[in-house]
Amino acid sequence: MATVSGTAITGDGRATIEKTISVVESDIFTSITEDMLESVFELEKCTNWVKENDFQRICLQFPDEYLTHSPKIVEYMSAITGKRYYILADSTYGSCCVDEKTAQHVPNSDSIIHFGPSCLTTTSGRIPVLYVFTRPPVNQQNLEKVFVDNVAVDEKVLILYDVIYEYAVDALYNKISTSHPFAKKSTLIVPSTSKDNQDVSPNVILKHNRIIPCETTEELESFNVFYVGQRALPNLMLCMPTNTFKVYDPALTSKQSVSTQMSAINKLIRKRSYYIEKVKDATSVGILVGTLVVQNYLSVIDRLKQILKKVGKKYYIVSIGEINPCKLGNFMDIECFVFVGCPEVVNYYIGDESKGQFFQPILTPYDIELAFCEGANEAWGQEYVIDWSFLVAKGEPIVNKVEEDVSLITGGMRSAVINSESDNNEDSGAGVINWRGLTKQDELMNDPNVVYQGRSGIASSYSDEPPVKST
Amino acid sequence: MVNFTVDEIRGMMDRKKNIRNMSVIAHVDHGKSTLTDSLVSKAGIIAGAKAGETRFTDTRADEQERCITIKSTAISMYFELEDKDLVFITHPDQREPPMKGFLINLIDSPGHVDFSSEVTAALRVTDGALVVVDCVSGVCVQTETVLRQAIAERIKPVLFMNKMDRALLELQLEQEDLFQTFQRIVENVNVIIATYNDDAGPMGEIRVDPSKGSVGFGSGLHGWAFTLKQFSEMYADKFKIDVNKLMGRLWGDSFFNPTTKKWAKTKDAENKRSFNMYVLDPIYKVFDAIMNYKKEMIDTLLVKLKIELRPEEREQEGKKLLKVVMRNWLPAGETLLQMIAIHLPSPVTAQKYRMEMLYEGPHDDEAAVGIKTCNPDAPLMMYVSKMVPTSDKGRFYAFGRVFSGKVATGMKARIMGPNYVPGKKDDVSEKAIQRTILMMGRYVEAIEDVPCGNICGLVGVDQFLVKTGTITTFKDAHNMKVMKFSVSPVVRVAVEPKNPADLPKLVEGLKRLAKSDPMVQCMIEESGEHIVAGAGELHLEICLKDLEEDHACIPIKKSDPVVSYRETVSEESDQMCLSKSPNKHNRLFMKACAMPDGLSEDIDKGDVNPRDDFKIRGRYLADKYDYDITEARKIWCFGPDGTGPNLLIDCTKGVQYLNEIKDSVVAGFQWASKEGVLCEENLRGVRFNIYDVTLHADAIHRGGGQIIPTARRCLYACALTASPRLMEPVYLCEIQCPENAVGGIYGVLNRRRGVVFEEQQVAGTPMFVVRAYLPVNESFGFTADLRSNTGGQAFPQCVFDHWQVFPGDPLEIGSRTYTIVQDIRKRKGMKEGLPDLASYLDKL
Repeated sequence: MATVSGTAITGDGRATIEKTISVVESDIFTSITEDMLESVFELEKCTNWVKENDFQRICLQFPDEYLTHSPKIVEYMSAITGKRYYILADSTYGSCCVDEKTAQHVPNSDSIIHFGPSCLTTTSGRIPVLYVFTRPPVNQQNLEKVFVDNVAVDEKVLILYDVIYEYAVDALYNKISTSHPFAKKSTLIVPSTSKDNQDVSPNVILKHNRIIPCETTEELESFNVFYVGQRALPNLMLCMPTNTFKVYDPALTSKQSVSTQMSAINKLIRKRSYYIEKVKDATSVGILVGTLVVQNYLSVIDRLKQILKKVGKKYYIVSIGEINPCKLGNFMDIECFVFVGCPEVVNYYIGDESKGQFFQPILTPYDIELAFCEGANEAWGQEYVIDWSFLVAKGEPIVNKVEEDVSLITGGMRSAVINSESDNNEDSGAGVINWRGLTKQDELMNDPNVVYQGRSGIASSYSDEPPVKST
Repeated sequence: MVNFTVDEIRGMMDRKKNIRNMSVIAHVDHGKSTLTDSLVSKAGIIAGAKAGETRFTDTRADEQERCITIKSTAISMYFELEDKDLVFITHPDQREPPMKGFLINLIDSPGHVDFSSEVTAALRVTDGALVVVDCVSGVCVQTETVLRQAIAERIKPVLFMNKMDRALLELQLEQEDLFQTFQRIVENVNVIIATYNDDAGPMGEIRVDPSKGSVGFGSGLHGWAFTLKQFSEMYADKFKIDVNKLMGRLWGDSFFNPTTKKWAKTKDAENKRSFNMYVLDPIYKVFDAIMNYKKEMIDTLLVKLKIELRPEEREQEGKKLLKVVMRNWLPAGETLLQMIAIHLPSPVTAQKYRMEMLYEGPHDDEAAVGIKTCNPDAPLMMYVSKMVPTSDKGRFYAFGRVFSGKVATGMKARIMGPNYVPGKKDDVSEKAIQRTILMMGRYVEAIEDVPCGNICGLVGVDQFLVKTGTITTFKDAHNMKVMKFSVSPVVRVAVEPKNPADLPKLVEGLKRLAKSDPMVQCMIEESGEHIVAGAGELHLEICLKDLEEDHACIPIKKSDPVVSYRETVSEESDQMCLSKSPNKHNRLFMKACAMPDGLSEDIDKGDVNPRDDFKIRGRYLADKYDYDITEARKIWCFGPDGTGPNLLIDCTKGVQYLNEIKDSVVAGFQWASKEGVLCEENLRGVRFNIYDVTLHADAIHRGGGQIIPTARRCLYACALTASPRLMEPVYLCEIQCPENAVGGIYGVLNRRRGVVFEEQQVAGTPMFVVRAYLPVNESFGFTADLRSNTGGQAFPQCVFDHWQVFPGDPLEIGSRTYTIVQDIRKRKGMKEGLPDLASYLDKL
């Protein structure tokens, strides 16, 4: 995933510099020619949006794979609208999320147009956003052929897809809906337009911001899934563990067949049980801020703080922008991280790709819930929840009574945690960090110093200094 | 059986000089449990209703079914010595006049090697051991193992030669042959004792000697036994010799000439060996008369030996009569209990010399003195050696020995786990002891309090301890030393619930299983595998059965057993390995090389360990392994887990700020030694040298994030360039069988890469003993295979012995080792193929 192009701990760093950003192994993105830009990037829709709202400074956010086309697009759009455009590249957390943070660096920017794949998470809404999923040139005949070849006429099939294939799937559905009467198609909830769509019928199921036209879970379970694309697949498979997925990815033009996949949720859950044991062993936990836009991220962080405080673990909030192993490795005192971020990025951290790269294990808020909260693991074993927004709705966390427990990592005893009531002078729950001297001699001579609040500001005039007189 | 009220037992507990805590140890099938039964039926306390049931100490259904002891079980017995016998107890600490009664706490332990950890736990809480040896098969591998452990724990042994009935009835040994057999066994046992015990040491001379009465002979199955004391008493009047003196004459090269009535030290034509003449001869006569139905002779013998039989007993014939006669003449319980009371130490005696082996703290603090003097008024010091499941699922009795002070119901005490360090808050809790109980075989009885020198169980402590721990009321107490096991959990099985939704139950079950067995390891691996590791196939089988039926109570899927491997190197790195940090500003230069033979084992045993003073350790390494003294002093750490058999040594000269990155490099080393470069198995026997380091001048650019991964990469490069090898665990395997089956054994061993290094006949028997090294990986199904190839005549005992380098280069595609590495990588969900040196090694 291009979003987390951190230096792998096993890599030597050279890779990062010399890396040709190999975006999805695809011809369909590279095959976009200049004359296709207008249709692929729906530039007319964009210019209309800008004109209608009379935005002055518009940020265009591109994922890496589209970056090559960005100058042309800017050229095209400014020619039509005459406004200022800024290109946002190298998104802070993930290209699927709207990068409000970077947009704020652009002075007086008043809107963002987000191109390409999106995780559809509801944002804070601080700035107007237009989502353009783009329309990469998909071989429509192939898609139809694959569908017809692999789906029986009377099969109950649900079509799910990556956002960039929305238009292709729409076209597909129009064609086959008569021949395949039992086929259904999900629709997307596009965050910024959701205000208009508030009247989402209660008779549908919502999964990862997709509307699935089924009334009950039982009904959903009776469907097979035909999936177009790859990106959102892991997360959807996690929340639909019993369905069989027939996956076709148009981006892999060389491969014209579907692969049948079942959810690997059992394996995932067993793996998570390792991390759950691990965090129970830890004395200090870092809450890793991996988003600044996803709705409710602050409430989730608050909830995590509450839980960790109740179970007597020290916690630190770590907000370091883009996350990579080197940065995290500097926090040697922290034994575990909890990552708060958008579901697609979370999926990277719990997947196999990140294995062995990070010095400390990275958990999800749901792991913490499972480890410490009462009743949380009732459903454990059947589902694994990546989208943590539901946690917020649960209200005050009720923590399991901490009992002495055997650790299945160390084989030792986890002693009862001394509740933070005893040392209430520590408000944040964070411990005091000691500083150790440079040389042996220093270590022997002096006690470690306690960290204290230093001065702040910029070197020309620190905040505790009188302002420099202007001459 | 003796009937006592709890109060009476409690009364006896105070007479600490009249207490004997002992374990029964032996090779499997040498007859421990049967022998114990004859003791229990004579003197076992309480539970009259169950008397006479066999295998009293085998409390589990599967133990009774398989006729094998799995868990060790404690039994209390009460026995009174007669005045004539009391004189044999001379030491004032061994008896409290005028008390004649002795409270004997006996622990019957399993003989199968897979359960040796139970033996270790039993030895810890006892002071003496009854070593049972089958006189037909002699001293076997497990006899030696347990005896060695006993001596290491400062447990005084007495010997019992069991299965004499077989020697007489099946093998029909001549008297002199039988004597020779006995003598050889005594010698063998004494050789082992002499090897591991120093006569000048604190325990003094502890060799077993028939002429002193510390060796018993007999048959547990038939319920008869004697020591030379019994026979001496019979003859003392006749010879007008003191019993003590006569005992000396009845053993060894002591010959008597019946015509001249002269004793001699050498054999000549006229005289006869006194042991044969006075001890064996009467027994042979009884056997001969009864088994050959010589009715008149039986009657004369009965009169002569003053054996009175009840009429219905007299009517029996053959073996049954033999049993009755022998049991009446030489009752096993009486003999053994006398031997135990006279020769085994009381807690008062034993704790004097055991304290320094038991206690980690200073030898003059309150706890140490309390243990040393066995003082019930000193602070409480109790060692919990194992957990015994209760009828309440998931809860355990903590079973152990009070060494000092008293433990009482409701008492508030500190419960310290094995990782407790005095002054720290880890692994210690202060809780009230809910209940103190007496544990007697299958039954438990509540008791108000238990004073030092006794064995008891505690309720409500199990939550705070995994397997073992120390319980004390002394705030500054250190831990009692943890037990060292003779076996390691080298066989592993991955388990998962049949129904995925049962995962939480499985996790709970694993935690309970971890408590219930002293040896088993339960863990979750990063790959998501839930692992149960045990000493051998049988051990695992029992553990998994317990897990499924008692602890998790859910159906479980098990993988095939696999062994854990170790990664090592065979040479020194062929180049200086350089790795740069991600920001390129820091450089580490290191090399790896193999550690000299024996050093890994020294570290395993704790002879070389991270807590040693670095000067002493440096000297030791320099003297024994030719390490450069200055380098040997600069060992940065052991790994994995800070204690493992790999070293990281600072060989740099004058590098500034080196100490500042020490923590980071050590963290990288722990990581790399825990997950090796080949297939993420632990490293073993690798020494890493840091030769040079270049660091960025600014501290933030040489932080953990830069150094930890770099150290790991550099260590991986070192290992890859030093001809990496895989090590596999190897069993020492001892097989007993008749001569005609030896061929079959060789066949099976050859197919399984086994190497025979010793084959010998058990003298005086047609049995052969084959000793071989067998890779643990090849041992699955070995027992069954062996049986089918030898017509069920061969029975192996396998005990983990050492790690052995697997021949072949794992980096050579197509080699056997390569395949193993690939299999492991696949199982762990790693990328297949070989690790790429280029991704770890940087160029200048």
